[in-house]
Formats: sequence, structure tokens, C-alpha cells
Amino acid sequence: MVTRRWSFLLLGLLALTTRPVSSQEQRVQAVQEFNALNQLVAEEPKPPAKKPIPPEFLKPLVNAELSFVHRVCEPTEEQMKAIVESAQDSLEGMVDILDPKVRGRTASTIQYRGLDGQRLNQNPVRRIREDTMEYLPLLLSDEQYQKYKQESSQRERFEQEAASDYLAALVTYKLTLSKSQQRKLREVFLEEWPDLDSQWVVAYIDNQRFVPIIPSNLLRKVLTTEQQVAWASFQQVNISVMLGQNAELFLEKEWLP
Amino acid sequence: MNTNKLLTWSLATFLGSIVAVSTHRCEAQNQISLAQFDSWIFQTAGRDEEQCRRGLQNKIELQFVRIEQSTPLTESQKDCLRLAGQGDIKRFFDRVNQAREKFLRMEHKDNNANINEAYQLASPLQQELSQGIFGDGSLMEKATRYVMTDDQTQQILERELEQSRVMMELQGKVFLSTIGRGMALTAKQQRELQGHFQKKIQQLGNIPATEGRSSVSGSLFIMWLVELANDDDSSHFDDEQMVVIKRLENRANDAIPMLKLRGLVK
Repeated sequence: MVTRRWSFLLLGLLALTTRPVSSQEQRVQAVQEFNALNQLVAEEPKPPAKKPIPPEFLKPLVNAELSFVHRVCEPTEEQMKAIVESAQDSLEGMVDILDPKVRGRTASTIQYRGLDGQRLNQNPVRRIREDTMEYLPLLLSDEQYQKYKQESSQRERFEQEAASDYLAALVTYKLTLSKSQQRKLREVFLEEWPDLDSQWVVAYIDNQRFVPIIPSNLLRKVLTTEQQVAWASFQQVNISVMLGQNAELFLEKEWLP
Repeated sequence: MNTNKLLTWSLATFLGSIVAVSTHRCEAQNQISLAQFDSWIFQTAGRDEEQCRRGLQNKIELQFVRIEQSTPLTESQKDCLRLAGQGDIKRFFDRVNQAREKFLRMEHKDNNANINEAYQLASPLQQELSQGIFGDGSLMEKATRYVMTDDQTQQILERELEQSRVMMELQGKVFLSTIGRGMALTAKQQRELQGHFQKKIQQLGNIPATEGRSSVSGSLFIMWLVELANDDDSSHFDDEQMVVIKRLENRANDAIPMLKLRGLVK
């Protein structure tokens, strides 16, 4: 009878004691408590900062330049692969082109805009060409690189001449300049206006009501005072170059991934 | 309590006065004077009537220089043209005075509407000035045709045609330099195409008029590229570039009726 009483008491004691907890369970619990506390105190962890993406409308321009390199340098497949990789890096580095701050911007500074109206701080075509000129010597033979340099400079000259010739002829037509004045104006544009861009001139061919804002220091070198006054009487507007238009005039080949 | 009321009243008075002052300022800012209206018209011509008149007189003399690049003018011819030029200036300022009268008659109820209306009055006159008042349809142009001998007229027309050809050739060069970027044309290709365009322009019996020349010329340039690419012995473009040219073919075909209408293609 006594033994039965003791056994009931033992069973009762066993029931009252808590279940033994393993060390692993203790750790999990501690972590959960720690997390719960942290959720109350700590801020949400910040997602990693997104890498800025270069504007999409630059891609066709880079692809076109790569096609130009392919055409004039005839690189091997391996060389071309490395060139495309460098072009990709260069494109990714072009995020700074969207910074609208341009030092020394004047009324005649040529402005470039993307399809969504983004303002660019420099001529993207020129930037792509300069970048290409930088990485190509590391990836091509000297002979191939010289070919690119030569072709690129001839292309540049053609474009500069096209823009300068047209503008000089436009001013001549509007102000009835002499032949020698026209020739001199062309020279001044070619030599002292490196930012002049044929793409910008197209805007004035398409909008004949307006004339471009030509830097006055250049006009002063050739025009008489009366001619300068007469030029000022035309409606001068600085039309931005819009990028990303005329996709049908671009080659289909997409080198960039 | 009284202090609170006093404070509220003072605040309300203060805010009310600010609103009243700011409304008054807006009205003042929206009203424009006749001098401002004039400056809209003459903005590219010296900002006021006097300077504008002087500029227009100079342009008459500039017209003589332009004509004399083709053929010499006698003094009596110059006098006649000067008179016609004065007529154009008078006609222009008659329109300016009409616009001024309308502007002064405007009621000043809704100032914003007035500004828009005033701008609508000034804008065409300003554009007329920018484009030049001695062009097509002007007395000067009519008088030029009237006082010139047949030989002189022929010389002027020949020079104008030559100038138009030159401008079109230069447009062609700009066109090639820009499409060259997308099509990755080499400088050699660009120079060959430029030569081709020059030949084609020389063969044109007439040149697109200045008005709308850019779109007509652009259509012609595309058509010439397509024609060249379709030549059996053509090696001007590589396969990739040919894809672009084929894409442009539809554009060229669409433009043919318009070019035929203008007598630029057979």
C-alpha cells in the first residue's frame, strides 16, 4: 500500500516536470528570439544598390560602330569576341552621359536627347568612337588598328565637311556672301568648330524656317558688321539632336548581348 | 478669449492682404504693353520698328547684291526695284498697324486669354519677317521679273538653278554622312555615293523648290540608293547593308507618285 502511494507520487512529479529540451532545440529557439527582437529594433536590410543601366538608345550606335570595326579591320572571331566585350564595358561606363551638367554650355552648344527626352551631356557618337579608339589597340594587330584609325579619321572628315559645307552655303545663300567669304567660313567651321555635327545640321535641313545658332566668335571672323546684323534677323533656334530615331536606317546585326 | 480672437483676426487680415497683393501682382504681370507686343513682332529684327525698318532697307540693297552676282543692274532698274521694295515694307507695316489696332481694342477681362490672342496676332508677322518679305509673291519679286531684260532673267534663273543644285548636293552629302552612321559606311563608300548623287542631280531637269526641298530630296536620295543597289553589277554595298537598302525600297516606291507629280522622275 505504501509502495503504491510512492509510485503515484513519483508519477505525479514526473508529470509536473517539463520535457527535457535538446541543445539544438535551444539554439533554434535562441535564434528565433534574437530574430524577433531584431525585427523590432533593426531596420529592414537595404537591397544591394542597383547598377545604373546605360540608356537603351545607345545600343544601336555601339552596334553600328562594331559593324564598322568588323568591316574595316576584318578581325578574327576571337578578336571580335574580345572587341564586343570591351564595347559592352564601354557602354556600361556611359551612364555618366546622362548627367545634364555641362560646363560652359552656351546658346550654341549642340544638345543631344534620348527618345524619352533625356538630356545628354555630350555627343554619344563621338564618345563611342573615342572609347573604341582606346580599347582597340589592345585587341588588334597594329596593322588592323592603323586601318581603323585611318578609316575612322576619313569618315570623321567626310562628316565634318558635310556639316561645314552645308552651313557655309546656307549662310552664303541667306546673306549673299562672296565666294571668298564662303570659302573662309567653311575653313573656320572645319578648324574651329570641332563640336559641329552633321546630325545636328539635318535638323535645319528639315526645318528651313529656322537657322542654327552659330557661335558668334566664328561669324565675326568672316562677316561684316552689317552681315552679322542681317544674320541676327533670321529666326535662330537651337534644335536638339534626337537619338533613337530612324531605326530602319541601322544595320540589323546586334553584336551586343 | 479676447486675445485669441484678436490673434485670429490679425492672422486673417495678414493672410488676406497677402492674397490681395499677390492677385494684384499677377494681374499686373499678365498685362502687356504695346511696346512688349511690338517686341514680339520685331524680336529678330532689332526689337523695335525703327531698327526693323533700317534692317529691311538693308535687305533691299542686299537683293541688289544677290541679283548682281548673276547680272549687272542699271541705276534705273535699281530705282524701280527700290520702289517695289518700299511697297513691300509699306504693306508689311500696314499689317503691323492693323495688328496693333486689334491688340489695343482687346478687352482686359481675362488677361491670360489676351496674352494668347496677342501672341496669335504677333506671331505670323514675326515669322513673315524671319522668312523675308521680299520673297515669292512680293512686289520686289514681281518688279524684278518686270524690269529685267530676257537675257538678265535667263542669267538669274540659271544662277538660281545652279545654287539650288549646289544646295541639293550638300544636302546629299549630309544625308550620306548621317545614314553612314547606322549603315557603317566607309568613307570610300560615302565618296562613291556622293559622286553618284552629284551625277543624278546634274541630270535633273528641275530642282525641288526651296519649300519642302528637304523631304523631296530625301525621297530622291533613297530612290537613288535603291536603284544603285539593284544594279546587276553593283558592288557598292555588302549583304548586311543590302538588308537596310531593301528595307528602304518600300519608302522609295511610296514616294514615286509624288516625285512624278513634281516632274522629278519619269
